[in-house]
Amino acid sequence: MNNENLIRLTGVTKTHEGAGGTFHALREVNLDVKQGEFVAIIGKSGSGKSTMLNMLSGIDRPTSGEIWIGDTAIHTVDQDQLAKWRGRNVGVVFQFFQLLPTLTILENVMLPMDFCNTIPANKRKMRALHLLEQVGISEQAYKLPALLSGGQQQRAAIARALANDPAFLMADEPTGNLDSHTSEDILQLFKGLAASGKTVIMVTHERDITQWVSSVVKLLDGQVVNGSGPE
Amino acid sequence: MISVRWRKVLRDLWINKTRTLLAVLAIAIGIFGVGTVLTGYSILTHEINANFLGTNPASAILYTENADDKLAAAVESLPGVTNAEPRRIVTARIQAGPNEYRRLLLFVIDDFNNLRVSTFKIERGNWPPADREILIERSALPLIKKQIGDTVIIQTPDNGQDHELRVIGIVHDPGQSPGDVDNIAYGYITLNTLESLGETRALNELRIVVDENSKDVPRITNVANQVRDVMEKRGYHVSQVEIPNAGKHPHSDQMDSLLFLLEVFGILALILSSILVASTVSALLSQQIRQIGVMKVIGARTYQIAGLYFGSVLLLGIGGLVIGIPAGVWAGRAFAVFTAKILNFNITSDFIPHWVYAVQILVGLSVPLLAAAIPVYRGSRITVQQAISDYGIGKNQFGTNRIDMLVSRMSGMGRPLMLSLRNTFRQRSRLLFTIGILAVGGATFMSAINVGESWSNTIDVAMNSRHYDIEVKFSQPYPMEYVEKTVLVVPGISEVEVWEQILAARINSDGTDGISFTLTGVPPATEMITFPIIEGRWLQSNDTNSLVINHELLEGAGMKVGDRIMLKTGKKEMEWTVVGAVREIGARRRGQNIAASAYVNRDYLSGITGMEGTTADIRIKTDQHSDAALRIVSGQLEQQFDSAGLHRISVNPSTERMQELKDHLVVIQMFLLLMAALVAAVGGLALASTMSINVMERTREFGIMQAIGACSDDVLQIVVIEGIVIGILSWLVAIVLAWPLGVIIGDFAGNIFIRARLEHVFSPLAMAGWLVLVILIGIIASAYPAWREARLPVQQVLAYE
Repeated sequence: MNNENLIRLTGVTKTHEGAGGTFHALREVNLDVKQGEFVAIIGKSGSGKSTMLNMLSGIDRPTSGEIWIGDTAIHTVDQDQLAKWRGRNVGVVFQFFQLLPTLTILENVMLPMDFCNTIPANKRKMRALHLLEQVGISEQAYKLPALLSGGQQQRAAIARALANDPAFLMADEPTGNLDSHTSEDILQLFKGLAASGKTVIMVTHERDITQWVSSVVKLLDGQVVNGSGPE
Repeated sequence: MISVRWRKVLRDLWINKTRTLLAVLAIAIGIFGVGTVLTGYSILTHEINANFLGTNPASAILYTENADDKLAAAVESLPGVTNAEPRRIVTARIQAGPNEYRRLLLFVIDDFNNLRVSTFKIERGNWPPADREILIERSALPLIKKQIGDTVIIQTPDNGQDHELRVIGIVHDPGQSPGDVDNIAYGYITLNTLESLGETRALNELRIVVDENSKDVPRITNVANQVRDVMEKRGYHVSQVEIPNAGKHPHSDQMDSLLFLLEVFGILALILSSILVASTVSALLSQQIRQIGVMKVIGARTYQIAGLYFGSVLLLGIGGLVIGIPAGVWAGRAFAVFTAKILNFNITSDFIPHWVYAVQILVGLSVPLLAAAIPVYRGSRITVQQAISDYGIGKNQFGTNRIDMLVSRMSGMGRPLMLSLRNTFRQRSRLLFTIGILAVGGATFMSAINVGESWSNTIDVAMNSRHYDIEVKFSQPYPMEYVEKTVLVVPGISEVEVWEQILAARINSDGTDGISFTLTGVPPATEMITFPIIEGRWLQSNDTNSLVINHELLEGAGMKVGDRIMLKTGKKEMEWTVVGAVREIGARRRGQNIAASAYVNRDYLSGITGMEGTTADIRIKTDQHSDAALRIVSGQLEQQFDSAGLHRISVNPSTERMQELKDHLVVIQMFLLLMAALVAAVGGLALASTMSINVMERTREFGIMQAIGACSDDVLQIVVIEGIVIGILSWLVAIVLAWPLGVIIGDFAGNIFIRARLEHVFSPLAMAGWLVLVILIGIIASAYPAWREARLPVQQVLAYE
């Protein structure tokens, strides 16, 4: 693999068997992403955007094809190893934030460090506070998620995604549940992270996304119709 | 400082307070059941040694004419004999009121200051009794209504006269079954007092203790036979050698049975509560599926997720232990006190060994973990993909199977009621589980009442096979005609039949004494008894040495119809043939409820005993059969016998014996009801848990209903009706389960107390009673979650995810 291309998808196909026959969520998708890129995956509902993100984050497996993230062929790794790998290498951000409701914002951010044991126990709190400060909500650290606005919760979710200092950030419609002003703040945050060397891949419905991202991958019926990879 | 993930565990438990409390209570009930059994068991086994074995009970009793201290000293020097002491037991009567007498066992002791075998202790008053003074066993006090310093009137068999003795002390004799339970009094007197009562001055028993209370029956028999040989060489005639149940209290079988039942129900409660824990954990996991997915996305591995939920269960277990252990200790101690009363024990120490706590802790932590293992395994192994695409309640769509279709076709009722009915069937596995637990509780409850009624019915049926109303035993034989004439003078008496009763002992093939039992001579065509025949036939008028045995001899002593057996009656030994076996419930000998007995042709028996034309045993039929009427006739009979100079041992109305037999079940029935309450409590918790989960899952639906015009009361009504419907469904299942359960428990109890299966009945009262209770449980268990739901603002409910 080219050292510059941190992510490479080769011939990735995902099918689902249903009552109506075989459904192709992705068809023979090829894609290369370089380090520090901020990639937007766009397309209509059902085009395969979320499936593709799930493949990249190791949440789902391809029916056929290969997915290499760095030196890891994640299509061959079992669930538990994937969880460990993901915890250290990938930060995931969801549309509905998915913060654990019984933990404070600070604790939500500390939880990945706890699971993956990447940061010494006595330094976790300091790092979590630093990350919250980086996303601009350090004053909310000791509150429960239910007391925060949508934008603040998404910032907390981003801080959590950065907890183990992963190389990759995968975001599934991170602005889909936010107002336009807050969405811009979040996109600005992602742009800054990409500029600092993180590779950010985001599924989005946002219009005028091109001003924020370095490349756009457009999907239609499970196929890439334009993008950085070969078509 | 605790890690973040454990903070999550604690807060999840804290936030779902109701569910946590239900699970903790469920575990606590299981621990309570196990703790009660173990505590009761540990105290009682200790106290059996401290009380009963502490009396140095006799291993064997040798009956002779005149045992004395010299003989005892000689026997004590024999190998294997630890102690020997002469005694005599006289069956007498003690007056409990005007013309009202109770059976009295008088223990005659030569030297009260040198008790060695079957000892007892003074509790109050003076020791030892002087001449014409008596010590009374404490359990007989309610029966005779006397206290220290009072004078009691006693009649002994030999002269039937009234004798006054002064009560000078109250003793505790743990070797005797409680007098108030078995309707018998125990008194302790000196040889001089016995003589003053008109009885022969002689001690007729030699009680021996073998090898410091050996429980080895063959060894005891061997030593007893050697003692008999020695006695006979010294010129003592030994009429019988009796080996009491080695080292066992007369009521120890009842205690063991109660402990066994307690154990069964304790384990049942534990299993049910564990199922409840499994269900609670399962509900917790299904509610947190998305959270599990998120945790996996941020790096949690399967074992870490499983660890979190096992940790939750462990905390629930600790909560259960905190409540269950003290409650179990309290109940176990109360049970020990209750059982001690049945056994006439004193609880000298209620110390509970450490292993009892250790077992409870082990069970309280491991059983919930085991119960939760499958849901935790499934929940923690779910893939991220499955977890984050979980749609919760949408998975089980109502209307996809036949039951749903059937329920949905029900019409003609209000829409809220229809909604309640359909909701009931939405989560079918949860519904089945709740119905199952509640049904087991209901079946136990109904069984407790059914067993009580079946017992009562069995006693009624048994007593109906006895057609006499009063049983009279004279202290000596009197001419038949004179007895009949005397009895028939009393108004209200319609018929009298003369019997003969003696004690017989089987002679084993090796020449040793076998089981001893009552041999009753009756006219073969008797109308006083018609016992059900188990095998063979009843007596015929031309029968000679034919024997009809009762079920205790058939099943307990292993005799069979067709057997030819050697019997010793007094000094005579002769062969008899067993021609039939009958079920005779209520036969009694010295306070035992299971007594061996056999029936023979009276005229033939009289020929052997030389008692032709006389009788010491009669049965009487009266015109009226109520207890009150029989007591009046019995009183008149007493007066009539006094004036006719007929001395009697007992004049017993049959209703008294019937009540005595029925009272024996009160203990087991109370106990069953207690156990039913325990299981029903788990059932109630299960229903509360189910309703709480159901309501939580439908939060958004209730919001929608409220948004389209339903008021809080409508929501409350829908949920409470659902609770009631589940209760009624469980009641139907409980009815089906109650019959076999009642038969099993009833026959178990029957075997302990009367060695017979019960005549089973199904009580409508039990059915109706449980229906009312289960509806109440349904209302209580569903009202709280419904009320909590109904008071939430609509916007909050609609925003619920």
